[in-house]
Amino acid sequence: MQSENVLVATGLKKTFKLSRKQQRIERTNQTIKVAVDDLSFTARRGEIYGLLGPNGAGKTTTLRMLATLIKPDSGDAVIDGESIVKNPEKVRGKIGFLTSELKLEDFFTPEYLYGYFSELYGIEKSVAEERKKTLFKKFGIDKFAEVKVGDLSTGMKQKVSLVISIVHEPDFIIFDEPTNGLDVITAKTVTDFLEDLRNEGKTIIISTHIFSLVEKLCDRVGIIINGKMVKEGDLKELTAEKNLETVFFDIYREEVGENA
Amino acid sequence: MREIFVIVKKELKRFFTDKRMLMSLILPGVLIFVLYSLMGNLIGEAMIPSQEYTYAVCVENESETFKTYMDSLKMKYEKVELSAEEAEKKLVDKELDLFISFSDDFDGVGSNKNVVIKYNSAKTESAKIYTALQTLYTQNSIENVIYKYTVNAGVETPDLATEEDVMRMMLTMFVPFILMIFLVTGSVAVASESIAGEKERGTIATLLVTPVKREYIALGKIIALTITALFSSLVSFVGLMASLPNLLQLENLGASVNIDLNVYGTSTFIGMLGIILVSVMMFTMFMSVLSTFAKSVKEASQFVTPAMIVVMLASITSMIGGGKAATNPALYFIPIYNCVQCLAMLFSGEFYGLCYLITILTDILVVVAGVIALAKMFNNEKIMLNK
Repeated sequence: MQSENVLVATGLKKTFKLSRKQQRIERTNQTIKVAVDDLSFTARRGEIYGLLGPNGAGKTTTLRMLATLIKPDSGDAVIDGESIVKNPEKVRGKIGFLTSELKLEDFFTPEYLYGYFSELYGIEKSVAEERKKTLFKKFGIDKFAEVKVGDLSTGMKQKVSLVISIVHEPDFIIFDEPTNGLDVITAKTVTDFLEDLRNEGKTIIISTHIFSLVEKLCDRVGIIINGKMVKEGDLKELTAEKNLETVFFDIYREEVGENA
Repeated sequence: MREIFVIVKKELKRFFTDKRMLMSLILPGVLIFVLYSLMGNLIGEAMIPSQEYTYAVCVENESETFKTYMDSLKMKYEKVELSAEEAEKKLVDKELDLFISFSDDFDGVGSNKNVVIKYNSAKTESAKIYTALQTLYTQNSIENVIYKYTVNAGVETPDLATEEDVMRMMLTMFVPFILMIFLVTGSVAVASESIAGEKERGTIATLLVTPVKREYIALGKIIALTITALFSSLVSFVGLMASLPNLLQLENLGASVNIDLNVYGTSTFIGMLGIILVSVMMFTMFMSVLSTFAKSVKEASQFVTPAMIVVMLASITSMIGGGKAATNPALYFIPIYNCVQCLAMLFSGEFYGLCYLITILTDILVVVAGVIALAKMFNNEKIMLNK
């Protein structure tokens, strides 16, 4: 019994122009860098899907395309029936996107920002209030709800960002490097929360380069190297014989060669 | 559309509840008032004769004008009888403040009449009385010559229309220039903070992942920025107007010239407000576009500098015009320049309806085009996420 596919990405491609300076850094004469190359994958309802790959593999670029922050050069992805190319605004209403690059304004309090984003998402006031109470309590934000974001610690900020990205209770959550830069306690809060969300039947896509995180959380995993999907499958099947780290490096050697 | 209002509300909250931000909006206006009043007073101090001091003057062949002018300046003086040579010696020794000598029949009809005024610039009082009298005599002479003074008989009491013209000319030349600079400064600060600042701090991306249309985000920003910049500009405008009497010191200088803004009717002020409004909208739009291209507040200020220079150059045209606005309607199709000329026109007390209309319509079109461009830019990932 397989549940339906909530996300179908087909042939996603994204290239960036390289400046002269970037060419020197990358030691190449090419003016174009292919960040994501013909990437196709699917995620099913109610699972946590992990995009695993080294830095620069194209994970973040992929997630940013799914979140409609950037447009693919070619290819498309359909999230819950809406195309990221044709209906980006509809997609944005269905997803929650979390990444450290999305910041909150230092000047405002978590309390105000929650209300502001709820209004932008068009959520009824009473519903928003109710959700705010639950979420603030769950993450302990109620203790610093009236403190300006600028005065909060990194962990506190991350919690507020997390809560604000789901003010509209999205069924589909995209999370770029969920535990990066967090202390162990906040990281645990975040991973617990992701598991809770899955138990509620929501679909989650995360990107990471941490094997243990994938092993702990993910139902399925896709390994990306140099913008290409080199392996995709159930975590259990992939790690039936060897552990994930060994599996990854076997594939990596095959793809990149010994000098890796 | 509801989202536009939500964004406007938040942006205004940002600007008007932050004490530092609010200060930066009000401060220019306060500074203008203090600085210009101070400047005016200092100039006045240096040029206006003191009323307590008794000036020692030596008058040769006295003209009626002398007494009239001294009375109008409210200066106390004591006449000393000396020969021309003795007077010069005493001037050098700083015992005398002024030597003034009129040619024969100075008050009568005819030509070739001179007044000679000698003084000692090393003595403050001597310099002051010389400046005051020289100004008065020069104002009423045909030739602007001090030692060979030609009297234009019968113009000792300049009529009111002339005074008003003098004032109008000064306002026409200086105020549009200063005003434009304030308007543009006000919009620069808020636009770079709200757009380039949000890009730099990464907070704009949070807004971009919401389902709100990018056009609405752009529109919400520009409306809030215009309101804020307008507020700042109006504070500056009030500061400027309040300091004008002090700055120009016309009251004291010309002895009888009074600065009286009442010569401008309510309709003129409404006309000015209209121009101020469209200029602020236009500046905010330009600065928003530039700030959107910039990666950081610092870069935004670099982009904005050349734009400010353009505005200044356009504003200087009000000074070159010699107190008159351009009358060719075609010139009023040039944005910014047309605002300057409209202000000059209003200050000079004229009103060319067609030119005013062209200005307002052209500039509103420019703003609309800018907002459309801005919305396009907000949809462009290369511009919005170029960190």
